[in-house]
Amino acid sequence: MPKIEVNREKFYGLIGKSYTDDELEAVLPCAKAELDGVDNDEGILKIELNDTNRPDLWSTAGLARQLRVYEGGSNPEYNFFSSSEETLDSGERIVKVAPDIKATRPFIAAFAVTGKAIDDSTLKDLIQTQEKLCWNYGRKRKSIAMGVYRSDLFKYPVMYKAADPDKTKFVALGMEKELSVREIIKEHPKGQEFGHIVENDPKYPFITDVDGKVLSFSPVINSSEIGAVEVGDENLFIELTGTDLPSLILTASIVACDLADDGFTILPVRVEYSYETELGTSITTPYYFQKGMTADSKYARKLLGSDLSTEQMKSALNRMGIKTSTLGEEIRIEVPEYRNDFLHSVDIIEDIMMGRGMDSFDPVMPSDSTVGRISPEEGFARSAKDILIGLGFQEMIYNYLGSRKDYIDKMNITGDQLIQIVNPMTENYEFVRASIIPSLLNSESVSGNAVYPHNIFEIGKVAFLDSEDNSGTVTKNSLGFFCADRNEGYNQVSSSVSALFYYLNKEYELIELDDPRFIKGRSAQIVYNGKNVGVFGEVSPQVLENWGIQMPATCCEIDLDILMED
Amino acid sequence: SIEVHIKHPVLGWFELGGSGIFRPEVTKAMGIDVPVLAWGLGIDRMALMHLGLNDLRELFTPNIENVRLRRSR
Repeated sequence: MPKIEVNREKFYGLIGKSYTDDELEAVLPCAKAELDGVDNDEGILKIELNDTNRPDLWSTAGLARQLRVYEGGSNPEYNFFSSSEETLDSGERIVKVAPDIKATRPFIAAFAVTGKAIDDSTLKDLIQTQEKLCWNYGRKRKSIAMGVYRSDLFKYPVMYKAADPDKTKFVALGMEKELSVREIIKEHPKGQEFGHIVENDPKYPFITDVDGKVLSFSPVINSSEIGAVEVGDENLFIELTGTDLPSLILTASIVACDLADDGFTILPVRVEYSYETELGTSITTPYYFQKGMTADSKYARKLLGSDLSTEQMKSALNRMGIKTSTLGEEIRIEVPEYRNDFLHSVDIIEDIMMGRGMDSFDPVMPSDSTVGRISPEEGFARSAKDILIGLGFQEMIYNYLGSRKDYIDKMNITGDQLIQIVNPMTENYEFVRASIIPSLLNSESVSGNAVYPHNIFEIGKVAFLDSEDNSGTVTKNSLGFFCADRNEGYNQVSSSVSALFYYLNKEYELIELDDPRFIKGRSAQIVYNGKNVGVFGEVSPQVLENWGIQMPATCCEIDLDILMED
Repeated sequence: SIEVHIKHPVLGWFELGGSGIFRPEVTKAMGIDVPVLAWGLGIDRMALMHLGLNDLRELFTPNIENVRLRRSR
């Protein structure tokens, strides 16, 4: 979940009132946020945002807006949005999109900022917003990337097109000499980080002005000449490029609203495409495309379990910054310019809940009750556990994933039945365990310091390939136990098996076992109800050596699902 | 949807579980037309507190001596 740093003074200034840290903690839940830390020397609050559907909250101004409105402060009105009904005048501020960029990175949104000089905390916020939105919401710049420029340094119209990777050269921000776009991917740190997004396309996204002056190589890096914004700059141009038009337009709206809240004037820019988009061939941004939504107040009452009046519901929504109207029992909302997370009327009902405050809902005992109980598998497992503990065994808990070394190589087996993970985090977690025995042996190999004898067990799941099953695999409940001691041998483990089956009231037979993990002639297959239900015996010296175990050891593994059958 | 947090006298607030009502788009697709509630608690964290442990990995240690010495606080 995104974490942001906000300047305390600026934050409370935007909210319109100051809070102590405790007071802030109490009000942050309305934005699904938590106070993550405070730096009193620098005057910074660290806040974690937990709602992935509210990118508008991931900034100082955005979070302040929610808190301000929630606490009864002003609900902002923004006058710089065009829509399907009204296109605002963009003057000479135009972006022209060439046809050849459609295949690579088709969409761009832009607006200009003016009115006052940018100060240090606003610049920091802009950089932080760009980072958080493009990284989290924009999938590491893949679907959204943002660039900020000084508009005094270039001439409209801005041109967005696809450029030849080798013939196109410019001086990137942070570098001194001119490099081709392809070279920038190789040599610039941002190129190494984000270049992969476009490097396989025949041409790369490129933004220039009408005279060919370079603004940037999107989504990688701005030009050094126009793309360096500093404290004190007064006229800015912001563009966002990407692959998903609605989320791009929403992000542009979010950034514009934040700057407007901060006292800047937002100027529309008209984007002219050479091809059709879902919002037309000409879009003036910031653009309001969100559609209204309704919720039935009777349904809301039912879902919330609370007898709220329609007026109370409307107030609650207003507290969240949402404008409302009613038509009989129906509440109609106007989605705020900086949000697009209303997919179903339940989303309106959730905002009613948050606007009321979660503490306003009293817990109620359910009027219907059902009886819960432990599943038969769990009950059987617990009986087995009790018996083993009675026999002096220590219960262990192990991981379900392991390495080829542990599960296959050290065990002396071919491992054909093991489920292998295609994209493991590390080779330590490449295989799903098909047996508990390797886990037990691993335990022994790291427990030389524990006094002997060692008697350990685990009851847990194992899984392996099974061509007869629909899914191709089968998961079983398995019991594995292990003994290591100077005098440990077949007699001892056989005696434990005998006691376990006696107290579980299960009859069994033993037949000879040929298993590379065990010593032949000192191991057995357990047969129950005519089925193979398990194996036990002395662990083969080769396997013990593979694990670095020097104590004689026996072990047993039983399929509890089969043993549970009558 | 709601997250459950508890306040530990030493560790402060931490998340214990999540819960909520399933979205109708999900349940209707499975032929269910009534509200469906769900919740889950993190047993691991409670176990850490109960056993006086700090690291989640200690809960799953293969070391027999460590497990033998484990007891509730």
